[in-house]
Amino acid sequence: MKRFLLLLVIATLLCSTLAGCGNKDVDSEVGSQEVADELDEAKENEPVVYRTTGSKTVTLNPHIYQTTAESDTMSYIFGNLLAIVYDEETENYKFIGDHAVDLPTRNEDGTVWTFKLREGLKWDDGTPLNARDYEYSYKMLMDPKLKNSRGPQVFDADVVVVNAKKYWDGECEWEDVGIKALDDYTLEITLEFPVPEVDFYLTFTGGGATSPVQEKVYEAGMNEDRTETNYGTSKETTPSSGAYKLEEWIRDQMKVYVKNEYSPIKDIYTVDRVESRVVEDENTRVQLFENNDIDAVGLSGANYDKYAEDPRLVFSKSTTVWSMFINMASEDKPFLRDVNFRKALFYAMDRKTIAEDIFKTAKPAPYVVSSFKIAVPSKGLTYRETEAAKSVLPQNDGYDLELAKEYFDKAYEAYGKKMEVEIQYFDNSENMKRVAELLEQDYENLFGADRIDIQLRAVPWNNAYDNMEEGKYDLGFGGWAGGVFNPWSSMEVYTQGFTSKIDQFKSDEFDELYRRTVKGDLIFKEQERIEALAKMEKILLDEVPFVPMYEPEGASMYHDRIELITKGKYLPGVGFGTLQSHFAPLE
Amino acid sequence: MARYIAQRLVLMVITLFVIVSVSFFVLHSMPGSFINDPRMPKEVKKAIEDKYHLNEPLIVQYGYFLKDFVRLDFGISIALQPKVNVNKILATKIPVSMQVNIFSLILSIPVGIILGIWAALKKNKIPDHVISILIIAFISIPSFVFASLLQYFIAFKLGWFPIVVTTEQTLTWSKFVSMVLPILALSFGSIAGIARYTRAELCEALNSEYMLLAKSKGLTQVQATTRHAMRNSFIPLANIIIPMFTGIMGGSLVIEKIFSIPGMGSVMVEAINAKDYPVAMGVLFWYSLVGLLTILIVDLSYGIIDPRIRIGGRK
Repeated sequence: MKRFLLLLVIATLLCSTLAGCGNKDVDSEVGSQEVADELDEAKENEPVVYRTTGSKTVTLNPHIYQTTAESDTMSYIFGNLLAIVYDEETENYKFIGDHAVDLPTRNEDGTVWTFKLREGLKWDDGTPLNARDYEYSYKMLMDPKLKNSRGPQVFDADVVVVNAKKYWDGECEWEDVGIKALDDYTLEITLEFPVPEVDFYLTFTGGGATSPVQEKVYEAGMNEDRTETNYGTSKETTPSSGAYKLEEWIRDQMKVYVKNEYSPIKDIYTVDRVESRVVEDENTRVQLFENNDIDAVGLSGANYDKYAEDPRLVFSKSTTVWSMFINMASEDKPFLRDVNFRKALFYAMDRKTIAEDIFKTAKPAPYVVSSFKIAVPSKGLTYRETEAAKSVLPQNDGYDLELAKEYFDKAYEAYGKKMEVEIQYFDNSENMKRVAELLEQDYENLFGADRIDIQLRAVPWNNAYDNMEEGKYDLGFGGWAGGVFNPWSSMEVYTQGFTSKIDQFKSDEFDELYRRTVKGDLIFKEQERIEALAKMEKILLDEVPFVPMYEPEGASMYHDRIELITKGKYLPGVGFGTLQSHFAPLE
Repeated sequence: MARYIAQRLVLMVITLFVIVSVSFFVLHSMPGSFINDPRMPKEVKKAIEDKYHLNEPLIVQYGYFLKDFVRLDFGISIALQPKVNVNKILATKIPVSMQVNIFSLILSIPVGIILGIWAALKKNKIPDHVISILIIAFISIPSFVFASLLQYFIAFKLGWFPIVVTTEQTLTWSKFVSMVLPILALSFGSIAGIARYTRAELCEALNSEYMLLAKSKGLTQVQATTRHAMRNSFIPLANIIIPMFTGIMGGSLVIEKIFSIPGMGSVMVEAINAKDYPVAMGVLFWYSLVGLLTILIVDLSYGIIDPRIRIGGRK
């Protein structure tokens, strides 16, 4: 019986195989062609999916967010009055109206700005969105009871709204604040002092603190004494108003965004769906990329070495110039107050080795203002490309050992004995430790171990900054970021009035130049403003309150199926323009 | 027995209170703030901190804490998941870690015991040497090394398992498959620990005089081992196995990071680093409670495993 059954099965299989062999050549060719065409068609019609990785998102409340992961998400799901996109014609960034019909208009002196909003705007759930929602959102942003951490964005930033700080402090009524919805489609904003157009545009561009919040959800999540709201803590409490809407959010694991049908600018973007997975381990991310599970990956250290020659590598830029700060007001160690000593450290710093051998993707920076910062927004011209900036640059990347020794000899002569100095570095950064070790070795070798003794100390990063603020350090690493479009306002951190100052530099001339370029007579004088910035930079380079070291660049790699619209160029405001890029279908 | 348990429970409450109080003062004495925006104006930073009473004297803050603590309310997170209730955060994180840990436990205990028994029965023979070498390797090499190796070779190179755990919220077959590697990585250390303990205890029991007596009374080696040696050698094992059961709520910092598991692993460290006092205090309290309960259960278990041990007995 068993044999019979076995024979029956074999016979059946043979029959079905033979039955499938009729007209094999013709049928299979036609069939496979049809299938291939259908597959191609299906792939063409499939939504474009961008698969990426990110970090944990702690909140999606636009009034209190902190991290890049959060602002990345907000750039997808929160609309704003304006948007910044890649413009193929100019091959650069461009400001466009998002919820606003177009760019805002302003009065003659540049203090009153008016946005006209589009009609028929809606949240992703279909709830109408208009100028009154914007007014409500800004009222909540500055609410004196909520004390939102992003409140200062409209009273302690490039743009200062009339009475915003007073309202935040609970010292005036909302009616006194310079934000008014004149009607459902007109929003008027009054500033305390005029600002250049780009600064004003940027304040109301892209997802972030100035994006609207949905009143009914915001109010529903409010506690009894109105000091907290649970807005943006889950998918249910995060309505979308951007080009994408939040389809799924599993805390600390993944987010999925799909096109928001109500967004007026959704068609600018080619990507229909973004899948973002939280993967904190870089090696895991690289494996996922190599396994074709994600479309882009950031690389550093050994992973960068592995792909250093890969043509798919692209580099993002940073607004930070990392520096070694010097306690130039030290009472214990008077030689730190000697500018000759500080200049000796400046010229003896081997920035090339630090940037290229230790950080690999960084570049040497013997200057204060990052090469990413834009000085002429209308032309996309960076400050470092201007003649004024070039004129303050030291030669040979500021590496001149003879000059360094000359300065050191003068400082040593003045001090008269061995100089003992300590470098504090961040305890969680292997690279910073290596920089400190390199500097210890270089300085002691060049100036003589009998004349200078460098000690190293590992300190948690936040404590390191506290020490610098309190002047309890000799030398320490640090860096300030800042707005890419406003290098002038970034200079605030070196002024005497800056409350979180980590350097000990004090100059009335510098402060006056800062005031004139940010709030004074030079705001609308393009060339003079640039020259003033160069002058500020020169003052810092002459006084050396810190020794600029390097400018970091982030290496990333995109999958072959993505053809970046910026052709790999990293642009302010739009990055690589990933969501506007061309994506081949997923295999 | 009931009196003993009551006494222990009272002691436990006192210990817990001391732990929580000391932790409160230590955590709040750490320098720094939960606001890590260095450009934020000082007065703005102070105003936000004032909202959470963080600039008031420690003793006053402690009073606020105790007021909520008696209701087991640790408040809302201020940095890790701002505005989300601490107990809610833990309630979403703990099950994620438990899912992996339970499977790890299911694998570790029987495998560990079997290997330990086998090594003891084959003492100084090849199986014992092989098992002992494996035990040394599993104990001395950190679990994250195994995790990385498993991920690289088994998942990435061979493609037998996903590189990271899937995002499904319920336990499906594909979710389970994606959890196999972290389960294995978590289990190696426990297996080695249990096997080493079992082998040592069983070897000692097998050489005891009561085994000689049992066999002389006519019991076979298997009967004597299972009925007498194993039962006696399992008493000290309670010391390590029971904490494993109660420890399933904790997560592994590195393994969860490698396999992208959003569990408890990093919560405590992140909360302390971020100066998120409510979350740190919540985690500390619940873990201390579980730890103290574990010690009590272990102590009580001795009497259950071996009735000759009388707990809290008086002369």
